[in-house]
Amino acid sequence: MGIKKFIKDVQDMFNLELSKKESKKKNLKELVKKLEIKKFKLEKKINSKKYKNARDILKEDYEIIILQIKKATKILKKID
Amino acid sequence: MSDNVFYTKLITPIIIILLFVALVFLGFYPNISMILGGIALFLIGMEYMESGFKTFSGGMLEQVLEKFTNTTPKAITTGFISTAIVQSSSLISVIVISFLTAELITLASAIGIIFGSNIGTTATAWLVSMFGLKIKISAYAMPMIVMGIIIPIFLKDKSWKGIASILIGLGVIFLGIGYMKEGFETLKEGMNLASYAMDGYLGIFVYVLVGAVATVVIQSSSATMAIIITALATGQIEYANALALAIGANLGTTVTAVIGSLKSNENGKRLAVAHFIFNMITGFIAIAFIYQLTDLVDYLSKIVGIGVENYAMKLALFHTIFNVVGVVVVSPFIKYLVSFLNKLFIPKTIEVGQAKYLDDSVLEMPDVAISAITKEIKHLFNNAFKIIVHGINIKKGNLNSDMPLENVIQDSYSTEYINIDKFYKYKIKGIYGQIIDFSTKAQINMSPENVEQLYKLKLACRDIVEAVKDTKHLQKNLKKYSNSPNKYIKEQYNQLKIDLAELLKDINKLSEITEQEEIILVLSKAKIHAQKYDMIANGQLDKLIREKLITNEMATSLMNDSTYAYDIGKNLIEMAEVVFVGNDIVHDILVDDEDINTFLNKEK
Repeated sequence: MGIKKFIKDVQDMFNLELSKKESKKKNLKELVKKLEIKKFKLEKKINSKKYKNARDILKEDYEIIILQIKKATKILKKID
Repeated sequence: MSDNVFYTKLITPIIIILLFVALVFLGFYPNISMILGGIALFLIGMEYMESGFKTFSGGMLEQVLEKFTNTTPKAITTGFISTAIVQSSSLISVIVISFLTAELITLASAIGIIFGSNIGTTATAWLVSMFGLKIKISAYAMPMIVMGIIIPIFLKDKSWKGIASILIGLGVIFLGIGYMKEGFETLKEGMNLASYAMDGYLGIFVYVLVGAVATVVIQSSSATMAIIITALATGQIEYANALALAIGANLGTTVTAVIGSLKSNENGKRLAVAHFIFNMITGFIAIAFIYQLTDLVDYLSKIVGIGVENYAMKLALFHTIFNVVGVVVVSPFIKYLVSFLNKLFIPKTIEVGQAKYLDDSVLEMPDVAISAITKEIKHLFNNAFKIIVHGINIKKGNLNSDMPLENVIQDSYSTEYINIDKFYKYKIKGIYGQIIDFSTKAQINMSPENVEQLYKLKLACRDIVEAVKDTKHLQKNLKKYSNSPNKYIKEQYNQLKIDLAELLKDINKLSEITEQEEIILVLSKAKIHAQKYDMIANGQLDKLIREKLITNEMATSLMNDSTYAYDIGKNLIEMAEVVFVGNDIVHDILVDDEDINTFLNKEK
């Protein structure tokens, strides 16, 4: 076994060099999931009569969430 | 002074004294000299292991201790595992005390960790009895030390340096055990310590006392356990007496903790007393049921395959069992212990304008120091929030309620101007100064990444202070024109007040929410609104001037005050991005100026 492989094995074992790129990707994917859920909830509220008076505020929130999802997806594509 | 500093200050002279006495004995009693030298090497090895784990974990240990301690079983398990791995209960206690001081964990969690840590320390006995006595120095200890010296030459990474220190530490520990074993074996030829064996409860009490005194003198129960096990393995003491010595070592270690806590803060004292009570109860149980526990050890030894005559491992098992029994018996009463300790050591009352979380005991741990500073800035923000809210003449309770903002601004806080300068001196200046002073001291032990984070935090503090100062400028006209007979200027100032109130409400909300997607939404919205309202205000101002609906004086006032309001918002948003958004990922997807412009253009 080469020394490089040995070092990599030890690093993997202790999680020493956990790839920053990989962990960022993982966290971003989780965040996008949460934002998608938020988007879905907002969508439901916008279409509900119960929130008729707050429709403008909800629409603004919805637009912002869409923007955030776009930004996160763009970063994810860059990482890939 | 923390326990660790106390411990480090004591352990070095002890090692020097041991080596000096070993040197003196060298000519007359080479075997005693060998035992003393072995103990000194053992202590040096422990120090190497501790510093190695600190370097290797690079803050990971602190993160684990902070995150996995929210329930008592979790805290006990975390304390047990981390101490068993790092082989240092003193390191764990220091981290726990600093966490308590920075209010990162509760006292109940801290006590849980210390209880678990007590079980964790028994790992040393297992290490010595399983490997230490069997390892050939030439075959394992020396190569370990050599590897520990060579590794940092080729691998410059901090984690590798830590591993190198751990290897040196382990090697030196085994070397020390080897010398102790050899010393006891040769000592046996001239003197048999086993002839001083004592039976019955008198023997138990005498040997408990000997174990406790030895631990107080050496300042390390692990070292005492190593001596007991090597002496037992070489037949210099009897098994029954070794059990009593192990109980004594447990009691002796609390004396070290209590002495160490005398100069510590309330949290250090609380933990030391909790440790003392725990070890006293455990010791009492172990003495009272020593024969039953011995039978249990014999029974369990058969099950796990420990030989009938392998007394060293049986002693390690006994050591673990009585500590586990102690944890099982005492942990259901942690709640009562917490309330007793809180009554025993009442924290000093902190004045309103003084820092709450900055304690010198956390200075040595960069990540904990950053957490403490962040908490203190939140404290500073809370004080500033009240001043700003009252400065724009609204009630804090109304703002945090569901009341529409149009109504919030109508219900004035006061008919008088509030003296913002006085409140600044009373509630802000002291904390701000303490944060800057503490940051400067903490910076010495920090990595470049930590220093960068610290710089951002210091800027966040400045943002808060600037927001308070801008409120002072804004206050006068806000009050004057909110009640102006000119309905146009009155409308503008009321709108400015509503916009500011909305922003303050959002920023305050950020201090309470933890969900990433909510933080992103609230903060992005605040950023968009700040820009939007500024644009609208400027547009309105132009119209009012053009149509001569307000006087020139009103126009310049409104122009200046819009800038102050915009700056308050900008400063608080920038502060929130640093203080309330801890995650880099969230930072990356927050809206920037380009996004805001796109968004606002779309709205048009």
